[in-house]
Amino acid sequence: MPQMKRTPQDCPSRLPENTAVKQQQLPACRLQLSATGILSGFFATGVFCLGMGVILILSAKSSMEIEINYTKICASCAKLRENARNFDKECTCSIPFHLTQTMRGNVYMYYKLYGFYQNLHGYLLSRSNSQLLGTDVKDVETCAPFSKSHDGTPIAPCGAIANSLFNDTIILSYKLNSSVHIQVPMLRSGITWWTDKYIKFRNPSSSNLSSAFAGTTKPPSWPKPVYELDENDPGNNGFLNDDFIVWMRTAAFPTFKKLYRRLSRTQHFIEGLPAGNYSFNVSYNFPVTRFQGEKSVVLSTLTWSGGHSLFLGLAYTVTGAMTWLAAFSMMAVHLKLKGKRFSPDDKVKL
Amino acid sequence: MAGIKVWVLTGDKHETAVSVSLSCGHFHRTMNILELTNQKSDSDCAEQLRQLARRIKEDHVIQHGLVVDGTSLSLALREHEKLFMDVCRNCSAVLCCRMAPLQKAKVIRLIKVSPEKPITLAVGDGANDVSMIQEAHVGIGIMGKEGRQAARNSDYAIARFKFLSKLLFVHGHFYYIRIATLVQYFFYKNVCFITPQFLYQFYCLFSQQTLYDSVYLTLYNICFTSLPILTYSLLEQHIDPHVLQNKPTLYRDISKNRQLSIKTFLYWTILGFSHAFIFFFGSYFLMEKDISLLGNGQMFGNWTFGTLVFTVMVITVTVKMALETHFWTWVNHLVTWGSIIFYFVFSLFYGGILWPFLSSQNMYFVFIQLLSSGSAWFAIILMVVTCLFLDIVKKVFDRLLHPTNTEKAQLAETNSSIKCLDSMCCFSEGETVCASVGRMLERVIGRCSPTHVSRLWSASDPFCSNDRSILTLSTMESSTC
Repeated sequence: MPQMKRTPQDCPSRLPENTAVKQQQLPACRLQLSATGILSGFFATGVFCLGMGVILILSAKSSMEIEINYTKICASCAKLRENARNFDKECTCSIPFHLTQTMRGNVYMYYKLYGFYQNLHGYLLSRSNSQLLGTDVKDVETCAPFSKSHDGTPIAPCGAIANSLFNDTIILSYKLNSSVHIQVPMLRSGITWWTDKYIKFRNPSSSNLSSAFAGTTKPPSWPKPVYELDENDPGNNGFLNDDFIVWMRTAAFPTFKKLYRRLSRTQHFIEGLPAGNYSFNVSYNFPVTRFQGEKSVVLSTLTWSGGHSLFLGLAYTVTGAMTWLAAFSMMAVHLKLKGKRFSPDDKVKL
Repeated sequence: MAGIKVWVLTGDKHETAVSVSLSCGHFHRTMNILELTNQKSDSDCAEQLRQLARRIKEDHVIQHGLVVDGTSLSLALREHEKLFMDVCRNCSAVLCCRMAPLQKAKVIRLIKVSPEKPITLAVGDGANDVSMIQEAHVGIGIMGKEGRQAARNSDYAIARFKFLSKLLFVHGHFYYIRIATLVQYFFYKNVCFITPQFLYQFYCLFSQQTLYDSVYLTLYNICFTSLPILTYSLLEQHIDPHVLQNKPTLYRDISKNRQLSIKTFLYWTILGFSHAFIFFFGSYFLMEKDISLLGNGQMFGNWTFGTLVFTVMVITVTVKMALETHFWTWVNHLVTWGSIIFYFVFSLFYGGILWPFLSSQNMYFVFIQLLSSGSAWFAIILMVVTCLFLDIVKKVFDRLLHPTNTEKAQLAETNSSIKCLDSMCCFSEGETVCASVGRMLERVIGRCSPTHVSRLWSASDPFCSNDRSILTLSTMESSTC
């Protein structure tokens, strides 16, 4: 057969350019699923997954976690808080518990809420970032329905997220011996993201804090205005309050934990929390029973891979096992068919 | 062989048409040629048709061919369409002679509306073929001695009739595979995208809270996942073109729109749903049950959760595309890995600045915090591996237990000496490496040497020569670069 000749024409040639791209002749590699490649990949993945799974399970098991649900224990306080007119009445509740083992290392204290939907759409929108950045303390436009009070003064900090700030006070005390109870020293610093505390949240600039917030009023559910949240530590006051910032980082699910305090490893607690009798003294302010929610306190140690949950380790182990199972079955089928493939009747089928 | 029925519609007279058909292989010498010619009246025509139908029914073994002329055809189409189509359906080749141009179009229309609804392609080179070309689904005009009328009115114009085989078997096949995969992949990746959003509604009281940040919502289909599939649909060649041209039976693998059938659609959709469930619930069990994913005890929020799901999703759909691609050029590598890298770079950039004009600062530093958690990395790796592992196992078992002809051809190709890096120009085994590298360089620079060694395929693969092919294909020379 003669070769295809490019006949010269009178008008300019409309042939497409003879480049690699236009003639679809780019140099390329053809990927084929070959038996050795896939099987070795599967075996390697299986080994990796099983190994990681074991490591993660071991590290999760080495951490300790204790959760104490105090909604039912403090039922009387809960009932008191159901009526909003009792807001100025204090209610404290003491929850004793026993630690069987020493919690070694850094211990973190969290409060955990059940049934509180911080991920509701309207709730999430109801905040004012420019106010929290300190640029304009009176900018409350995006904060409906908690933007202005009855007489029209803007609320600082405005919005539903800020208004629902968790205001229980939880104090952990340790029974050193039968007569002495000491309060376990806790740190309230270092519980927020560094960027949250030092970049994203700023107080409006002024000589003193209360004049910075002049012309604004406190959110309706708060007992004190924002510049009185922590009068002892000016670095923890105003919008820079650690508990406030932690609360403003909205949680993804209706059951969530938020970091409350860290153990200060001094005095008796250099190693961690020694085994013994403890009690939580809770100043119960946050009402949860009206929406069938619950509250707990969680104490936990952490490892590099997180806390006590076995999910990741188990998932890795299961995946590793299944990968190996699949690899073995693929190998079995492949070897069985390989014997068959060299029979003569296969070739004509095409 | 390719599953294509060929009808010849010509204005020539009966004897010429039949002899041409016999000589070009349209009619075999062993075929039984039925005739519906020189009918004078309606009832005659009907009687003849019934006779032909009886003959076809009696004799199943032999293949039948039918010759119809223009006047008989118009009689048959007036009253006895169904009968005529019944006869035609059982003939493997039909020759219509003495056809007027409008009759050609009528015949095509008749075939188009027949119960199987076949796809029709009409090839013609003269002005009398224009109506036929326009009527068929695909019209091809040949630019030639009879002027440009046919070419001007066609969907595709070719210079020589022989190019039709390459047009159909190589380019047509490639385009079909590309478009079918494009459609299926687009639905798949959007199912992966939206299902976690839907699942999240169960956890936020159905308040329409989005899982991902709005910038991610906008850019998913535009920036993060668009280029790999675009490159696939421009460049993919799942089999070497020579193989396609020399094995017309491979064309049967895509007949009847097989790659867009319910079965394939269900596979891709169920795959999308299962991947989405793995992304969402994997991240859910990781973040919801555990105390903290950061070693310092600090907590993640809802935007971090959404970003975790999104990250896993972008990586998985891109690697899925990589698994589907058979033909890896440098462009494929660039866009596949580049898309993932771009996603990371963009997220770091987007979350690294407090944007002054945006009222919401939800994503500030979220991505970086996510990446600084070891557990999150392990979870990402695990979810990507889990999603794709199932798919790979399914593919391997399909290939081992029920290989399609296409897959067998791909396998045969690797076993013979088609080397890597050489897409269209094959070389025989004796060539040195230097020559092949030199040719590759030439091609990259942009110039293909016209005098290239062509290779006959038949050496390694004796396909059945005693098959009753409708369109005989000689073993074609591979085209030059």
